[in-house]
Amino acid sequence: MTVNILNPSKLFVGIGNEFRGDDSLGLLIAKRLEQKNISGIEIVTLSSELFSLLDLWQGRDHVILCDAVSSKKTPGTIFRLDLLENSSDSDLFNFSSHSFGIAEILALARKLDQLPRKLSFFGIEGADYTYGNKLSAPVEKSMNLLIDEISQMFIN
Amino acid sequence: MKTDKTIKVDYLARVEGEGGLKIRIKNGKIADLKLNIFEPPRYFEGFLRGRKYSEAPDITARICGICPVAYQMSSIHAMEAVFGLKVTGYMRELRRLLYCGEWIESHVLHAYMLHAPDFLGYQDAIQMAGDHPEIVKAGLRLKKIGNNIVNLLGGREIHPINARIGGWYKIPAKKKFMDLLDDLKWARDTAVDVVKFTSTLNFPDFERDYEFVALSHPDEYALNEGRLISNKGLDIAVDEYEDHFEEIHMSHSTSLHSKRKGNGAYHVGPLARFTLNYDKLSPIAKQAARDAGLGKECYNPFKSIIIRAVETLWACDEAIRILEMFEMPEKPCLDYDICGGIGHAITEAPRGSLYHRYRLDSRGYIRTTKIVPPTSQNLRTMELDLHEFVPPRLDKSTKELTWECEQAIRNYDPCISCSCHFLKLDLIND
Repeated sequence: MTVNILNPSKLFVGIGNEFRGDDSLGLLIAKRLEQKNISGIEIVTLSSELFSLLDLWQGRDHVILCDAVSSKKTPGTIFRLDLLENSSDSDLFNFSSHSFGIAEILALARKLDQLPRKLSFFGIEGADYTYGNKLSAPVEKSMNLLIDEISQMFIN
Repeated sequence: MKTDKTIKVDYLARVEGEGGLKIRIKNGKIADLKLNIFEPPRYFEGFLRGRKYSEAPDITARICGICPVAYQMSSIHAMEAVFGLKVTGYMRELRRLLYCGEWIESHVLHAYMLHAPDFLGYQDAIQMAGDHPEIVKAGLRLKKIGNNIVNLLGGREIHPINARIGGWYKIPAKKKFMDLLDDLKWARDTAVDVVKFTSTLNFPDFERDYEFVALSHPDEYALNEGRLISNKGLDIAVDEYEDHFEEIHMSHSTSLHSKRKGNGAYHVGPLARFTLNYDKLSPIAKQAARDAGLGKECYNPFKSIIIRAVETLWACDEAIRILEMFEMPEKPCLDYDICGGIGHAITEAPRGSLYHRYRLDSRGYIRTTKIVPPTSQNLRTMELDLHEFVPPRLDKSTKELTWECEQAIRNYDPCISCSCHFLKLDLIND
């Protein structure tokens, strides 16, 4: 886990595996957001240890999770979800490539009353999860749109 | 009583990695029982060939996200055996500290998140958290304390990168170590309660006459060094391992099965370590074990959850001991000369003994590698447990028996990712 820019109220969490093609999406967006030097947000990257989310997001005003999605939709499709309004956690995230994934952590946080006040998920349907550190073209194109959208959200 | 039955579980949950189990019972006897490991082989031993000796610790750490420290430690010790290098003093203690961190996080993850739900009748830890939030919160905090040790000393929580042949790349400042102490003292107190809690669970009446195999050291509860011993007369140096053990290919498994030559299946992991090394546990861990009703040995694999709790307590206590005698080494890494040769090492991963052997050429490049993970060593024993466990319980419903069979496998905290990757269960009644 890497942590940058400490701020208690807003948090961006990029999740992924830098060696599995489009699965590196969350990590790359985190890096690009860091380069923008937006004040007032903490940026964290996670690769496989998602239990730490429970502590990281507790007490926050707004947490954004970002990860690649594999759900047979058109590659490059952008997902925007309000995780606190969606009641069917496991249906929502059973397509994650992470084993004890966001769905389980979210369900656990609900049971333990350890959720932030606002919890958003942004994802992009991936095309290629084979070994390598390059994004596919449709994901790269959508990623640029998503970075602008998330930046605006934090600036506002 | 219906004497023909098929137990089938397509996906065995709450194990690390992926695989499956299928049991066919005919006329009250097991006609077929297979722990299927169908994940493709991972070829680590193959692609280490031609790599430099110094790359092995970080490459083999990638075999497992739960026990990367074990892979690093076994590869580092094996390389040091080739170079005739001996890390001593506080640098050696720091290796034990890193290993304690891994034991805490791995044991707690298994006991709380994967195994406890079996005993309490929950599908998973999430369901359990609804009724027992304080227990789950305590488990998560304990696990995080283990992670913090690995994060500090290893450079990151998963696949740490700071351990190297000869010592460390960098040793953090003393203050950062001391910052761990308060949390560890809380963890030690909490671990005493965890041992008590696990001892109150209901355990099936089941014991087997295992051959327990573990590393044993004359002065300490063995983690990194010692001789490999068993309760059936084995007492060997680690470089004699392949004279006494062999791996066999089974058609239903992409993971090899290990056996002791001439003796067959054997058992590595917490039960083996506890039974063989009980006298080396710290006083607080021994007391907790006694209070939990354990003797000096344990042959009921379902009680492994208590032993994991005892080992968690021991690891917290050992970490505190190491931190309280902190002494900054003069330099983070010893000097050494590269040479060719063969090096062997066994260290104790949370799940059991992990063997590495490397042959290096004179420039320090790897020519051959052999890695025997603990889960491969336990696979045959898991199958034999089920051969004895299932027949007397055929009057149970298929659902109940399937649940108990899955639980029997989880007793071993199998890391199928290490042995190759995943698990799935089938109980068939003809």
